[in-house]
Amino acid sequence: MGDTQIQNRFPFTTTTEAIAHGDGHGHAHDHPQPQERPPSPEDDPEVMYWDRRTEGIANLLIRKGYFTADGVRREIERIEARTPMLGARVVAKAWTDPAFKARLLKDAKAACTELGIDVSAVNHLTVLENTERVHHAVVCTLCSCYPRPLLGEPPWWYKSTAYRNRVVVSPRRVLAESFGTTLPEDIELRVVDSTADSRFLVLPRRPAGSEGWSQEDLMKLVTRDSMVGVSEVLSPAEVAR
Amino acid sequence: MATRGTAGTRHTVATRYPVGGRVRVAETIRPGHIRTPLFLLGKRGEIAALQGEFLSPEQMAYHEEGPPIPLYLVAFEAGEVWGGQVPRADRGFKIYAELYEDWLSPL
Repeated sequence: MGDTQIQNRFPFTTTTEAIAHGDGHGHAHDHPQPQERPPSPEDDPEVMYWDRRTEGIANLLIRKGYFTADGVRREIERIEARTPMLGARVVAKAWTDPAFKARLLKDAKAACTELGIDVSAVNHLTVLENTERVHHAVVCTLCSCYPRPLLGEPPWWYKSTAYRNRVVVSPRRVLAESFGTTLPEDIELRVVDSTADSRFLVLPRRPAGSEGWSQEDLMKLVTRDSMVGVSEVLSPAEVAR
Repeated sequence: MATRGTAGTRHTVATRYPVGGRVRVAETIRPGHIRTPLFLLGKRGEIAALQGEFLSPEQMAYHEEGPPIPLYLVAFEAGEVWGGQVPRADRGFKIYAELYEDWLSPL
């Protein structure tokens, strides 16, 4: 299955050894070329095994009448219909409505529900506000926890061993070399690991030059990656209103 | 089906650590399904927030039921977690992770 949401190629190998030896730079001289496509899960014998097992169990349950093939398809369709536009709506609303932003930072699930976004699938939702002083980047070092009700399915690099291992060791370098995001030296960088019940959404900084924009126009500035904290939002000059 | 824990600000269980409190993560892992990253074992951190109370994933993984456990967002200095292994350009960042109260002890 192709991932249509890929915005960033992830040029890292899956080893973390290079970090300890101070050689973790991502450019290509004397190094293997970056992967041209995400590793296809279907190529992995272990994934093949689990795929077949899942299919076998699903077919049995369908035959026994617990659910239908169409029911499974509908559920997959529902899951895959969620896109980062939902998160962008939340961010644009927070940028333009200080009272909403205060509610969002205090109880993010309630604030999203207010906007008609179904976040019932997560136990707890925490919104992390980026400011001039603090920048947040989100990872799940254990698996692939991600604020799916707001951003949809995670991009492949978010699930990669390379990102998960490296961003908690050398985050400035990962952000700079893999995502082209150079943070000011004096900013406090917080890497937030989704280890338990909360899912984390970054509330990026509103860019200068977007004063007076409508929520609908502001949404165009808010990218998926900016809500994971690996990039800033687009600049107003990049977006047609 | 049991509810998967209460989120939010109301708490029925007394919590052991205040925001700003210093804690240490347990030094040894436990058998079974755990949600504590191994790189944080034995590390010292500071309570950044109380996230709520949630059923223990260690029990839920085996269909056991227990009382909800307070869950904290805990902040760790990169130097505390990795020592001298952090590349120079990266010194000074913080790692935040959610940890259940029974993995923490006071400092």
